[in-house]
Amino acid sequence: MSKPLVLYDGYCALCNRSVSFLQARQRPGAMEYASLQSPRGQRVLAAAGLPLQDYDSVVVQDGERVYLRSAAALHLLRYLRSPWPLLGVLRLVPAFLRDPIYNLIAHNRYSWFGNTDGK
Amino acid sequence: MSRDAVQGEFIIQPATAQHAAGIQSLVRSSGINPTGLAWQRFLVALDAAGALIGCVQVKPHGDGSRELASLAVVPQWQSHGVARALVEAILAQNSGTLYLMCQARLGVFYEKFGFSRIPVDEMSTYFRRVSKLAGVVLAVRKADEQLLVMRRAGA
Repeated sequence: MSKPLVLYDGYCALCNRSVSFLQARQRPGAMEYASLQSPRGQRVLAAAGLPLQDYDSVVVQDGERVYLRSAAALHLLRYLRSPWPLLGVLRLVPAFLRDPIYNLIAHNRYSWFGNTDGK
Repeated sequence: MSRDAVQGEFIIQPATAQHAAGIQSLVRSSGINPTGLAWQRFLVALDAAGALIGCVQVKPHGDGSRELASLAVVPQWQSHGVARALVEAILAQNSGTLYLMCQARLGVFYEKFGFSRIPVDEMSTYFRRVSKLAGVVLAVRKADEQLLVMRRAGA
């Protein structure tokens, strides 16, 4: 069975740091990572009918399911070492309340946290 | 090995002893790891006049891992496909598992060649040690820089 694949914006400083955070806390070998801009990332986006550029969300592919925004972030918790999965209780907060917070950070990620390609 | 570029022509070839000083100078001016620069391991990119415009090597480490390293291109030839040509040429010669360490902004570039970033527990002993050391150095320098360790599985 394939591992969950985490797709992130490779030019976003916050996203790169978030992946480092996940990699440091994941159960050994639990997840794979690729940028949204990579050939692998582009294939997943195309298959899921998602935009191939101007990304506004981390994308998690787990089996045949694809998770976006706060649902993606919460889904990843189950693959981290204890006690991080406990934060899964946040799933009790409805997505219509969670996603606006995610979107606010996502839309301002370059201006608030910088980008890695110097643009 | 040759390749046309937008503003001229360059060739990729194995380095010779006469390129040793140029390789050292280019690597140092590029601000990348200046150690382990034996010219015998390098491929070089040369312009039509034979001047060194880029270089790359595969560096072996004591734990058996091998590193795609020392990729550098002179500023006036950057964004002309030299780095891509160098990486393609050296990967054609090295089919086994390769690691590399790079700044986060270059991760997308290396993914095009089949590299993906890996967590510490998947790193070889050498890269585990070096990434830890790099983390300490960046913290001391208070640098807002992030380094990735990437791996390309062998064919």
